[in-house]
Amino acid sequence: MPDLYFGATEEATEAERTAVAAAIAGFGAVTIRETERLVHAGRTRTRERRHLLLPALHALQRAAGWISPGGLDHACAELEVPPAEAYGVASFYHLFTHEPPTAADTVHVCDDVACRLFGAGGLIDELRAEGHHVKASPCLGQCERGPAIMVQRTGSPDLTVTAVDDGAGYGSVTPAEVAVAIAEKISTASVTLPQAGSSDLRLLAGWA
Amino acid sequence: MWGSNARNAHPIFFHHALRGVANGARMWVIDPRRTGTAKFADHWLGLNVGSDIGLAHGMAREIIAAGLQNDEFIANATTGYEEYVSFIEPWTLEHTSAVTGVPAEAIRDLAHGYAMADKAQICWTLGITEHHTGVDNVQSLCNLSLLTGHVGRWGSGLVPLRGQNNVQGGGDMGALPNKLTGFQDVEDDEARAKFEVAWGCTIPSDNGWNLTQMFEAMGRDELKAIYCIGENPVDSEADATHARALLDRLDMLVVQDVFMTRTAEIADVVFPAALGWAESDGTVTNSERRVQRMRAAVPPPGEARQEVDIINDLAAAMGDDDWGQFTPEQLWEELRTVSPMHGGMSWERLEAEGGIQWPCPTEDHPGSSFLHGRLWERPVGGRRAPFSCVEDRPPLDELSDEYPLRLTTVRALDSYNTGVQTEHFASPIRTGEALSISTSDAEALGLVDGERVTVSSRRGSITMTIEVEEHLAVGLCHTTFHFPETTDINQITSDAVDPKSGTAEFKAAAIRIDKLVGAHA
Repeated sequence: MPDLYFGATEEATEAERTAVAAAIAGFGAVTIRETERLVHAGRTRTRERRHLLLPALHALQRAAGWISPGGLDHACAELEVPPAEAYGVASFYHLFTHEPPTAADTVHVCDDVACRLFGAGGLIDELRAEGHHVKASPCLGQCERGPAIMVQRTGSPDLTVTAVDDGAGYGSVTPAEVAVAIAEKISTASVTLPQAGSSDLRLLAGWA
Repeated sequence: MWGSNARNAHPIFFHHALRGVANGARMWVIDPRRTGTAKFADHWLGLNVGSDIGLAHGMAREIIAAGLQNDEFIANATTGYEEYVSFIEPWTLEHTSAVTGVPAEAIRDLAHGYAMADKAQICWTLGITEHHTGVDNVQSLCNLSLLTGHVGRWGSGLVPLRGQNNVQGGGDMGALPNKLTGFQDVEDDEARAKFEVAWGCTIPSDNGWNLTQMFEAMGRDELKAIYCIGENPVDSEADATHARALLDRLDMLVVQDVFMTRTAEIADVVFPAALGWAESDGTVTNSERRVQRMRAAVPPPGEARQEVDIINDLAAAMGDDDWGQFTPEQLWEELRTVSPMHGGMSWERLEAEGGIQWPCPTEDHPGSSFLHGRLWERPVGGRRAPFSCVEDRPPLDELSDEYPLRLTTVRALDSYNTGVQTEHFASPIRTGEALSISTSDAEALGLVDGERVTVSSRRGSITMTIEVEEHLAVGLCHTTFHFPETTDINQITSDAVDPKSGTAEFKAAAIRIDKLVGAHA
């Protein structure tokens, strides 16, 4: 969709541009400037790339630690999505930040119902006291192993830190364990949960 | 869209076009610039200014080479096909690419896409007609529709987008030097006789002059007086210096207008007119041949009067005082009796049906959603349609070492023509006063964005601001003509005329850009 108005006063950084390019690789931008006299674009190309908006936003968040106005405008220009529409998406999700990052890592601690019972509230206070940049988070989907923590990092993949079952049941998570995970860039090992319920049930793997 | 920037110049029509796109239609835009319209396109082809006939011939030759022509339609509804095929034989994809600047593959894709589409329309405006080969340009497009049968049936066809809300209506009503109301020829004795009976007068049996011929006649001192209604030639004529000199030679210039235009300023008499779309009852006819009712919403201000009344009083003052007083409805009902294509459009039907497309010969006729359906009757209804062997001839204002850049004039969304109607309100998107130039040309000339320069052609020189446009084709410059008081671009434009239409080649001037005297590189 052309006729877009890009209002950001700053341009996207090199890192942001690279991140968006990687996120849309395989499809490429909507507009192809084949030569100075031949350009392809149009609604078909735009519609078949619309699903790349979220990957592009994730890529911007990871690369820069936030979704900057310049970065957002750049993603919108590549995908021909109106910036206002993209901003609506970007501002909806807790894990997308809209101010420049104040720390390299943001420690998201789930304080939803299950994790709260596992002491998330206290953990948040302790982590802050140790100088981490902490945000209370909506459910991170690790409810049996709470309190769940996700460390969102700039320029690196996210880390997950949860309680571990040492044979005697799940323990809790301490600030020290969080610090070790960040320092060594290690997520808590993932655990495969056994299939429960009727054997007729099928896991719907592979759905787009 | 060929030579049309509908996004800017026909925004309402463009909404309809975009609905087609939303429903899956493919859109090609053929334009030297990647305009706002082109940005919506699946494919934009940036051809050289004035190379449209070449592109059309190249497309046609490729359609034939690929066997995609509609043999049945050609055999039954057309003439001149064999001659046309030989005539366009030199226009291979490679040759066409060399002449137009468009990659050969793109020409091939366009040709195949057009020929194989179930329904296809070619829409054009001034990019096609404002050339010294304007009529030939149009005929080269008609050839494509005849070649493929994309004419005379629903959804396919040839669509010239008219430039004012009622320019179609103006011509339909006979405000043309060679036509009476309803496209009947002045030089047709039978038609003329019918009007003479209805109007109780004698009508000259020869065609009059078109606008270009009128200016030539002014130059010969043959045309001494002009009654100018709703036109601003002081600002809108190409080679403005020359045109203004001619207007100054008139013994009498009467201007009838809504605004005090720069033409009105030099007039001997000015008749302030009511504003058609807000202050008058009547009809207008749009690009789809639809006649619609217009209704007065407010009375005209001050001394402004209905144009019909002004003309009526002028006739009486000239001694012809038996016209009587009449309402727009009465005028319309008389018109229906002399114009067969409007015959069935009663005032009530226009009101009730929200407009009717001509031809509508009888009151039970619904109006005509497309033309030329007769070409699909077997045997063909009426005359066969001819292929036209038109020559590709580049713009007359040639590029040279002295004038190495190609200037084309364009339109912005929120301004209109010479700015008379649009200059009085502020706009957040007002644009088009500057001369847009490519990054390479700016660098080569040592110019920076925003710099003031002298722009010259073989006809004159003006001062303009430069705007560097990142993806503009090297060698191409553009500007609007919406700001004549600050950027009098028609001092630069070429008045090379199409002898068949009288239209000037506004789209192709040769210019030079110089730094202002005293400025440093």
